[in-house]
Amino acid sequence: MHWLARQLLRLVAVLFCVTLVTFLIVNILPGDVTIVILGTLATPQDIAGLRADLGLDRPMLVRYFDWLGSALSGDLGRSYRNGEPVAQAIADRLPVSLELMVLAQLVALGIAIPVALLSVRKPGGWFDRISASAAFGFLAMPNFMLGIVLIYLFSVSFDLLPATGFSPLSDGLWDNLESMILPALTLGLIEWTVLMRVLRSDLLTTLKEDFILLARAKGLPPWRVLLQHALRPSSFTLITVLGLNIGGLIGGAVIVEQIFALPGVGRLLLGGIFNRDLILVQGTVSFIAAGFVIINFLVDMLYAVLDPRVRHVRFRN
Amino acid sequence: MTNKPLLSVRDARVGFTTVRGVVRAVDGVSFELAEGRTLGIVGESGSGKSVLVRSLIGLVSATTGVEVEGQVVFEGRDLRKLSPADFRRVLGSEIGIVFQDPMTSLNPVTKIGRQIGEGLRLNRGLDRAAADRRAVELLSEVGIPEPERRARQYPHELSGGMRQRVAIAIAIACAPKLLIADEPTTALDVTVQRQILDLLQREQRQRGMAMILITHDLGVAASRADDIMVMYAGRAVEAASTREIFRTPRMPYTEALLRSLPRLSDRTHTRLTAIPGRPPDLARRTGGCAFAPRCSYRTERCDAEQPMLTREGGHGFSCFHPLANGA
Ligand SMILES: Nc1ncnc2c1ncn2[C@@H]1O[C@H](COP(=O)(O)OP(=O)(O)OP(=O)(O)O)[C@@H](O)[C@H]1O
Ligand SMILES: [Mg+2]
Repeated sequence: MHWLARQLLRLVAVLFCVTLVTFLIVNILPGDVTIVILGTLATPQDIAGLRADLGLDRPMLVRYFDWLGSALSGDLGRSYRNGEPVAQAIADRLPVSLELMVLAQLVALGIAIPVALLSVRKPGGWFDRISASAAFGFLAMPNFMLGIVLIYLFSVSFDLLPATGFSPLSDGLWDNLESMILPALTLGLIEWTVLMRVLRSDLLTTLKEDFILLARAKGLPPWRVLLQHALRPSSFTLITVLGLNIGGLIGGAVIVEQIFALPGVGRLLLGGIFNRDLILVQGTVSFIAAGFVIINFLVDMLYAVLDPRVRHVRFRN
Repeated sequence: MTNKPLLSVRDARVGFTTVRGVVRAVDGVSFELAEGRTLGIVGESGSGKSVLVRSLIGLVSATTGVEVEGQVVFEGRDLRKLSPADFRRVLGSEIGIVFQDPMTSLNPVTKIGRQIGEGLRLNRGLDRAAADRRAVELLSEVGIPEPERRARQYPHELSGGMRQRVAIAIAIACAPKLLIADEPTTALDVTVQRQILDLLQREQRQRGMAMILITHDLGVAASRADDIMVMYAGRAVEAASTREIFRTPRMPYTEALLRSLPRLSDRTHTRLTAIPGRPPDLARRTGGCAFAPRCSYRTERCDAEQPMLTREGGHGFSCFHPLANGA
């Protein structure tokens, strides 16, 4: 368990650095929230007064530690613009973003795993070649473009799915899913490509191993050899990439929420940036960074679940 | 010897298509194996021993093209003519195989008991509980202490020798009639090599299995095999009973091998010392005897013509200048 303690300590250190850097960056962003709030005609006295009210006249580091102290107790401050608590604003929008990312991952894995398994049945065969070309095609496509293509196909041409807008789960599962399908496809259709290539290449390596020959020698049919013997030992790079991709996925989600007008954390963040609502931006970015770090931590734990050798090294030594 | 053979291989050939041309790793090998007997296959590294036995059971793996030819009759059935499903049934229930390196031949993420029981469930129709129980019995049979605990462990928790015992347990789980052991001790500590060979021999006797034992080591072949086939450059160059091979080798290559063996009375597992020269490039075959460039009896004919395997009694050899019988 001492490995776990080390990991947690590292997690704390990373979070500290990330929030500090965010604070610095957010504070050197050009633009001024007071002008956004008071308009360009405000007098210097009004501006100074508002700055004092918001606490913006204090030195940056003082403000950072002040913010950090409250953040640790769950208080991320109140939006400069409308006074809404930032933590509440994030909590309200988080389910939308999480749902989007989980669905996108399911789409990506749901395509990547079967395609990789089918490709390695006959490397260099027609399926392998077609799927490789398809993967490169999707990979080369920017997500805003794919989003627009999907909207064009499914909403404009065939009117099957709504182009924009969001129905909460309380409207019913189908309404909710309907509004999420295109955004999730936009993200997933790009992500599966990387996952598939990585899994395919690891599968090919694994299939050369003696234990695969031994599994075949037991008389197992080819699909059982693939699923029961080759897949799990081949999934470690896949999981690493899955963890690393979370960053890209979050970035993609920010854009996709914008395209499909989904009220998620990404849209909250963009709104905050346009309005120079620094405290909102600070809170949202720190939250996203923390989420990224924590998910990677969980992914790391997943190795131990999948690979008994990792479990052995980590928890015995 | 006079029994009808369990396994009969006729003119086995394996060619790999590579960028350098076709590598004829196995080039027309024939042999027979009777029930309960042990055939030792010896030869230098790269002579095609592994490829030969893997081709018999359809396990030659290659990234590029492989061409496998010849006839393999096992228990009266032509294996190459069976449907894939029938072939898998024969393979799973009647042929067992032990690979060289027990570090790579067990699945690293599956519990040992499960790996042993898998074949039993598939080929013998045992349910999970029965297969688990049988796996524990097999572990104890191959000499693993605390079998219940070991069955729940993963391969990395066992030593190399133990893993090879597990591999043997997997190979014999379905009570096969033929066991193929491809250098089962090469990757192991000298101290456990003998134990593993003893275990193989004991299981073979108890179960009346036939065995193909591949080895680099003539000493091992001498003490464990009934018959020996010597391979060179993808061909069987001499085949006879173990006693014949050691008493009266006919093929100069075998003689050179024997000479390079320190002494028969030496402890086993002494590695072959090198014969001068190198085996030929299998992608660039010449018309003559493959061993000719390294042979001290070489004549013009040896370079021009490929000697066929000739039989004198039960003794086969392919050489134009065989050593005198009884020399
Ligand atoms: N997949 C492959 N593609 C091309 N050539 C191959 C392939 N597999 C084996 N060979 C070649 O076939 C020849 C015989 O290999 P094989 O592994 O049977 O030798 P071996 O007698 O078992 O040697 P060792 O004692 O080292 O195990 C070698 O020259 C090898 O390079
Ligand atoms: Mg070999």
